[in-house]
Amino acid sequence: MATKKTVGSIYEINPDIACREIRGQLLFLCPEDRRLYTTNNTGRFVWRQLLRRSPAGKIIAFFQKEFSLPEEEAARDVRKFLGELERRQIIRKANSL
Amino acid sequence: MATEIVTFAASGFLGPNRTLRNLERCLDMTRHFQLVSNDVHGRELVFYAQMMRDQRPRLILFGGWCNLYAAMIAKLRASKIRFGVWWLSTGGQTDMSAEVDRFNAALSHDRIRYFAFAHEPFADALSGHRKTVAYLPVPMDPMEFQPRPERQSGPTILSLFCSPHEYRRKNILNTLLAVSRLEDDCILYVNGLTKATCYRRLLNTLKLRFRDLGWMSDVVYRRVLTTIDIGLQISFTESFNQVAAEHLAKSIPVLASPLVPALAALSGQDRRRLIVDSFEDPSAIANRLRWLIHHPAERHQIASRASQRLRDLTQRNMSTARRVLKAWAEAA
Repeated sequence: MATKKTVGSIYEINPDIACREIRGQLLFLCPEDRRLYTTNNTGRFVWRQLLRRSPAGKIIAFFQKEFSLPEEEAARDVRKFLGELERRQIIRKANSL
Repeated sequence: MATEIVTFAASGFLGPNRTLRNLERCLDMTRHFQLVSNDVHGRELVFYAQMMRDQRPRLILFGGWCNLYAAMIAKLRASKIRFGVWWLSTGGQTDMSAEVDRFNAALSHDRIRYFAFAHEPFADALSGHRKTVAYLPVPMDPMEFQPRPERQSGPTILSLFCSPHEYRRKNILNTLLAVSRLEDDCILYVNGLTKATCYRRLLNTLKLRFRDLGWMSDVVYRRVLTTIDIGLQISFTESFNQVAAEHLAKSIPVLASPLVPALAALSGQDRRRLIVDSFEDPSAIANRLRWLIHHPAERHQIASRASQRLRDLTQRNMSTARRVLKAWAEAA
């Protein structure tokens, strides 16, 4: 799971992941289990930031602003989501600043 | 290199999903996806249709048939991808499972060009049909199921493993009646059978000593197999019977009906011990079972020989499957 130490981390997306946005929802196909995963609106927002290679700290800041959340709550939600993506090997840290 | 053959099966089709995953693992010629949603208008189908349009496999092979597949074909109508169906049931199974409508829908679908059957006589019967028909045997890598040493003590563990949609063809009532006739110390392992009220009641009425292991993951299933002494698969009809094959591969003898192709390669003597011709007769089943229980050394030898025969059979099956898929991928 991402920690406070990783706010500067940039994540890269596993090139084996097939990902598409269909009718406003993001769908992932993971190479390991060959099943589709979907994310909600907030997940889609984070994903778009990952595509732009935004560091985790920036993603949290953008997320907080976009959804008008307290900083702590935004950080917790984003870290949880990034941790889940890492656990499923959908993303991995490209570098730690 | 991009995968030339992609396979799909609806998540409700447990057998086809398992078989298609095996096909991928054994031959490394296909890539399998499980369709989780049943929604023919859902995002999942759109996702896969878009992915297929991008990846452009030569052939999409569906496991069995359902409306989801027709919906996917409709979404890919403009593409040059060819479509096929792998029908894993025998004719008898298709009848018993009330799947004749599905079979007919697949057979009459104008975009289904290739039709594979896991049961050779079924394929033969349709060989003159306008579609390209082939026998595509169920793949299995017996190396994944190494023989296990014979257990030396304790009650005899019998297995009767099948999934709920197979109950009608597994001859369960006769099998349970046969087990109830044994005087020996036996425990019957089942995997979810007690969820069906009628069988739970029957197991209790017959006062059978049993253990329901419920649904098992692959890891648990393989571990459980090492504890089994004799498998019971006295089915009314089977296109192959993967469970019987997996038992044999681990050197576990399986008592079966003559309609279980996984035991087709047995030698004459072993066949007489493991195949119950009178599979509607619980006493005949019990007699065979009793002999196997009372002759552990012979049972172990029979199982070792059967295991070797199965390995030869699966090698032939994999060669056949590889040849069929290669020909179809090249032709498509």
